Amino acid sequence: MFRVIQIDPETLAIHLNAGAISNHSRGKDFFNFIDAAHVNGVLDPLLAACEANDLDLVSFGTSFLHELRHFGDLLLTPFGFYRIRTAFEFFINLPHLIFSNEQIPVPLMSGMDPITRSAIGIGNAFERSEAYRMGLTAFSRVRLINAENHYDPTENAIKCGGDRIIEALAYITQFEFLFQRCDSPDTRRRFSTFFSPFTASEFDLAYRWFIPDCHRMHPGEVMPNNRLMTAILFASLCGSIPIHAPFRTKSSPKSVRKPPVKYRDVSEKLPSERYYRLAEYFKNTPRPSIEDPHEAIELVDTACKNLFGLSINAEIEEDLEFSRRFAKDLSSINQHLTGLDAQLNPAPLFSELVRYREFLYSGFRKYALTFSTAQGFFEHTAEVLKPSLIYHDLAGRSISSGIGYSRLPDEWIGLIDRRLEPPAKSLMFPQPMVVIYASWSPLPGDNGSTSEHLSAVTEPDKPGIGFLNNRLLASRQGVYGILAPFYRWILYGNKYRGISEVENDGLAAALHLNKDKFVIDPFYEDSEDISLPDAFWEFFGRAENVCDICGAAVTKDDSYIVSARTMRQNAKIVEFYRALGNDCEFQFLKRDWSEWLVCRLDMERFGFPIPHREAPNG
Amino acid sequence: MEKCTYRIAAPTSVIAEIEALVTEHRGASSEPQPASSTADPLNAPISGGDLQAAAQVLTIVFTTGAAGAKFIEALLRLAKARKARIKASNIESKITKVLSTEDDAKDLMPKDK
Repeated sequence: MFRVIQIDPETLAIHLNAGAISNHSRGKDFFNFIDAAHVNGVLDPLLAACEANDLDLVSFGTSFLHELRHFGDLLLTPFGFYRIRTAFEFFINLPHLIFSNEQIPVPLMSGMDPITRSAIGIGNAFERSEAYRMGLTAFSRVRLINAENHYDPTENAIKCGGDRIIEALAYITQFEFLFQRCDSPDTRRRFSTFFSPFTASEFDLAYRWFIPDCHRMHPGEVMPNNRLMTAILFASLCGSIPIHAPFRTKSSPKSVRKPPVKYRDVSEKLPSERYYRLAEYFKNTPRPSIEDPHEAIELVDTACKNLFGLSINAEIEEDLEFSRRFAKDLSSINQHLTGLDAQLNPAPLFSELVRYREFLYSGFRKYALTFSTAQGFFEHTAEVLKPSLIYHDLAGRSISSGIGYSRLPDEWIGLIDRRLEPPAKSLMFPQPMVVIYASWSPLPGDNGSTSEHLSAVTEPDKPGIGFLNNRLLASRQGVYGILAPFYRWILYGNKYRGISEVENDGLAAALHLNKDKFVIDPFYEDSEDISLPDAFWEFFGRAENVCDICGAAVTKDDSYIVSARTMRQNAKIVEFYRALGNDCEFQFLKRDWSEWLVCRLDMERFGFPIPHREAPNG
Repeated sequence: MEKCTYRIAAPTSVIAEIEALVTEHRGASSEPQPASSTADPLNAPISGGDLQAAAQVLTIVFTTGAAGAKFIEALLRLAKARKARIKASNIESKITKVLSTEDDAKDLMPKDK
C-alpha cells in the first residue's frame, strides 16, 4: 500500500513517507508545511494554502490535520489510550521475552490455538510460556475491540469498532475544514469523494459510515450538520476500560470464554456498544440539526449519564487515574536502567504521554468543544499538538548524503538503518555502506516537552548513535526504532506494517538473537501486499507514470502498487533481476524498499494476483 | 489412513461457509485468525483505492486423507461459486496454491488416502 502520512497508534509518532514527498514536484513546500505546522500550528499554513487556492498543499495539509485528529483522540480518549497502554504493557515485557530461551511463534496468535500451533511445529508446552501469556493479554484486548465492524446493506445499518470511530472523527475534521474554510467548485472537484453522496463504497464504509445514522437523527434534511454526530462519536471512545481487571465482552471468542478467574463484563465501555446505544437513543428521538455545539455535547453527555452511568468527564478522569497508576508501576520496574538498556525501557515515554494527556484533558474540561466539534479541534486543539515526526526514505539514503527534510533539527538520529554488503566485484557499489531508512530528531514541544535543548546527542564522540544517557530520549528512540517494530512483527508477522517494511527486516539479527528462537508461520511470512494505485496517482497528480519494471507508460486503470517485500518474495522477480546483474539485484531487491508501480502485463508475467476495483454502488 | 492438515486463507465473507464444509467432512478447525493486522491503518484518506478486503486464516485437520480430498473438492467449488480468492496449503506435502482450477485442487490433495 502506498501511504504518505500515517500515525502509529501504539506510539503516537507520525510517520511521513519522505522519499515519496521528495519525489513530488511540490516536495519542498510539503516539508516546509510540516515545519511551519510544528512551529506555529497547522491552521495558519492551511489557511494560507486555501487563500492561494493551492489545492496540492490543501490536500497534503488536511491529511496532516487528519492525522493530528488521530493523535488527539488516541491520547485523550479512554479507548485511544487503552490501545496505547496495551502496547506499552507489551513493550515493557518484550525485552524479557526476546532475550529469554523461549521459542516464539511469529505471529504470536498462531501459537494461541492448539490446532494451528501443531501445524507450525510448536508444542503444547507453549501454553506455559511467558509469550503465551502476553499473547492472551494482547489479543483479548485490541483484537476484540476492533473485530466488530459490520455493515448490513439491507438495513443500511453499520456496527463499528473503535478504530472506525476514530477514522470517522478524523474524516469529519478534514471535511469540515474543507467545507467551512476552503469551499469552492475547485475544492469540490479535487475532493470529490468527500462531497459526493453516500453510496456504501469501501471509502464510505471506512471513513463516513455514520452518514445514514446522521440522516435518521435529523430526518427530512438534505444535508444535516455533523454537530450531534461528532459529539456522539467522541463520547463513544470515552468508556474507561480498567487495565488490570480481567474482562470479557459479549463477542469474546471461545478461547477467551473459559473463565480462569471472575470476569467483569465491560461491554458497555467498548466504542461499538457505546456508539450503538447512543445512536439508537438519538435515532429514536429525532430532531432538526443542532445549531449550538454546546447543546450537542450537553445532550450527548446527559445521554451518557443515563445510558452508562457516568459523564464523559467522569470516564476520562477514571481512565486518567488508571494511566497514572500504570505509569507509576512501569517507572518502578526499570528506574535504574542506563546505557543501551535505557533504549529498551518504554516507561519514560509512557510517563511523558500521560503528562501530555493530563494537559489535553485540562483544556477539554474547560472547553469541551476542543474535541466535540471539528471546528473546535482545528481552531484550538490542533494548534497545540506536536507529535514526534519520523521521516522514512524507503529507497535507502546513504549516511554520507545528509538529511534535509526539515530545517528544524540540529541533529538527526537514524532510527532504522542497515549496513549493506555489496556484491563481490561490484562496479557501482565498491564498499559496504550504511543506509538510512528512517530518521528522527526530537524537537522542542514534542509530546508536550518543554526542554529547548532536546537534540543534543549525549555521546559527542559517537554522533548519531543516540541518546544513551538521556532516559526519555533513549526511551523514545528505543520505542520508535526497536520495540514498536518488534511488537508489530511478533503480533502479525509481515502482515502489519506502517509506512516501512524494512523496519523488521533483519531485526532479530541486529539484536544478536538466535534465528531459531522464532518459529515463523509461513502464512504470515508472505506479505502479499498488492493494491490499487489510486493513492499513488492522486498524490503525485502526474499525467503519466511508468512501470517500475519495464518502463512502459501506464494509466491508473492498468497499474498496481506492489510492496518491496512482495517483490522480493516472488521467485520470478528475483530470477529476472539476478539475470540483469549483481548490481541490479543489489540496488532493487536489497537496498531499495520503496513501493513498485507495476503494469498489468508485468503483473501477469510475474504471476502476481491482480486486485479488482470494486463495482460502483448505488 | 494418514492425518491431513490444511492452512486456508480466505475472505472473511466465506469463512463461515468453509467452517461448515469442515464440519460436513468431519474435520476439526482452529479458530479463524485475522490474515493481517486487525488494527485499521489510521491513515488519511486520499482515495478508496488503498482499502483492502479483510481475510482470515484457518488451520484444518482431517483424520483421513480421503476426507481431506473431498474437502478440497468442495472448497474449489466454493471458491468458484463465490468468486473468492482462497489460498490453501497442504502442510504434509508443503504445497501451496490459490485454488482456481481442478489442477490446483489435485495438487493439494493428500497423496495417501
